Amino acid sequence: MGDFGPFGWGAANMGSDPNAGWGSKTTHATANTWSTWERMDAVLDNEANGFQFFIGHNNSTGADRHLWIQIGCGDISGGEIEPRFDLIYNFNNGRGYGGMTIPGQLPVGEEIGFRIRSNRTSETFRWAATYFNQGGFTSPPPHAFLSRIIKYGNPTVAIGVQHTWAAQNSDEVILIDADTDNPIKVMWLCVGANLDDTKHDFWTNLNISIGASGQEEDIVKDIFMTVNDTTNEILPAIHGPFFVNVPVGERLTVHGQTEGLTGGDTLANAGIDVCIMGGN
Amino acid sequence: MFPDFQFGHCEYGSVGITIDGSNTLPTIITSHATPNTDDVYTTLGTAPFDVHAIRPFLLQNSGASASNSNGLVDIARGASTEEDDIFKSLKAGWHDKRYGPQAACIWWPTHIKSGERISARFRCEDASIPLGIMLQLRGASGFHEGLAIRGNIAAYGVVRDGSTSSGTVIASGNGSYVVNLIDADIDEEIKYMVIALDFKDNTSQGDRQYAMRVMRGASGQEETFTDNFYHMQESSGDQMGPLQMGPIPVSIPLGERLSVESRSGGSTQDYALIIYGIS
Repeated sequence: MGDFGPFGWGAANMGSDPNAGWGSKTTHATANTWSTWERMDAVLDNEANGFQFFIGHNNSTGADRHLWIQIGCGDISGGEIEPRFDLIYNFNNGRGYGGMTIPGQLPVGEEIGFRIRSNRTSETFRWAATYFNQGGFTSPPPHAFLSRIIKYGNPTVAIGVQHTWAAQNSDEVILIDADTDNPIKVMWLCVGANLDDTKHDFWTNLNISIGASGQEEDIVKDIFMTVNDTTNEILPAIHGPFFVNVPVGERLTVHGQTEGLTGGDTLANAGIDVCIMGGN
Repeated sequence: MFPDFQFGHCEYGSVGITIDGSNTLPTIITSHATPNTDDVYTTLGTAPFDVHAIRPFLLQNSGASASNSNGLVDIARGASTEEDDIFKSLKAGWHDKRYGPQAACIWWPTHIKSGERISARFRCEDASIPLGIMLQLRGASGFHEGLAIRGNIAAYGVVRDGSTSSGTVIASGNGSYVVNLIDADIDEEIKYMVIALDFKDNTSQGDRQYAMRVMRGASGQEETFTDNFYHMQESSGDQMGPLQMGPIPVSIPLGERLSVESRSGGSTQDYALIIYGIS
């Protein structure tokens, strides 16, 4: 499916059938605990050099849904799985999510699967996936793809490091990782509202930086977002990709400020969770 | 961003925001008092370096209506009254103060010289709607020289007239695909494609999932060149997502007829769609 020329790319689906609706996957009965692995594709017949992962939930409870999706390959049904790509999705209420192209390589001849970790227990989400292959390329240029994406920032929870500002328009530093254990060549900033309660309208601006405490140096500037009082969430929730060059052993931080827009705003209602998806 | 990017650090900056000890604010652009009318451009700032890609933030927030609406944003370079659109008809629909994509993960290629003025305007299906806007800027392109794209963005399926500021209305089949024409004769080749969609109007929505494929070829002889892309809607907030998909690597020649086919697993509702072709 999808190969259409000597310089073309193909797009094919994994494990999802629009005739029968999307696939479904239920989170673990304990919060922030990995679900079982779900097979997405028995064996890829072309090497995938990129993919989109869609997930959604028809739910109107108004709760924040923090999702840590881990895509892996290997023997999914046999339990020998190598985690490859961490994806952090966050949304409030229901709706579909995804759509961004991840330039990750998935190998020919191995099963592809995913598992999910969430703050929501025993909830069933809809999922679907599309992957891209190189079609008829016979002499590919020096493409750059990712073999691994790792979540940085509070590995015990589905999203990230919680932060509440002490003052409006005050530049504050949020430590993401004190000592990164892999190089990062591409990164995405992921945010989510950290409380299941009523939010107020806020604008927020964040920068990504590296370096020792007090000596942080910005590597990505001016990532802007809003918290709004209608859907009680931060949008956009994923920002990137940012092309960087962060070596192993760096101290990774985010810093920035927020401003409330309406009378009666309290900074507790501007609190965020933040983490970084770092690829190499 | 792929297939022809190389790794390496890029320079990042922005226009359109005020960040200091008293402010964390984007630029507010208000649509014309007459719905579906182009307004003058608002200055966002000057490019701090040679800009090779932009990442627009379109954010609705306090002071604006929480109702649903549709709009289009034009981003331009150049002096006042001499604006040259570098990105025309960026889809800007929203629901309950949410502008479009939850994931802002597309760098749109462009060329803006250091020091050049950058501006934007907003047209909307409702009168006098304020929209927060800022652009994150990227310097070094990251694109491989041998496959450098021109940085042109063409929008297909745009409906921009006296009653609409949105995309082509897409019908879906209940259990079977329905074909919808997007453009009969595209005027640029497409190397990367971005699909943007949203509800076509402010009506109550049900819970359902959609699958959509992009096609090319003459009427009655269309052939798909992608497999499915997915989106879903839920009833409580009348929300649909994802609202942007891409960039999708493709190879579509100049003059091709472009269409999509869409289906749902249940009763269907129309949505509006624009395909952006990057070359």
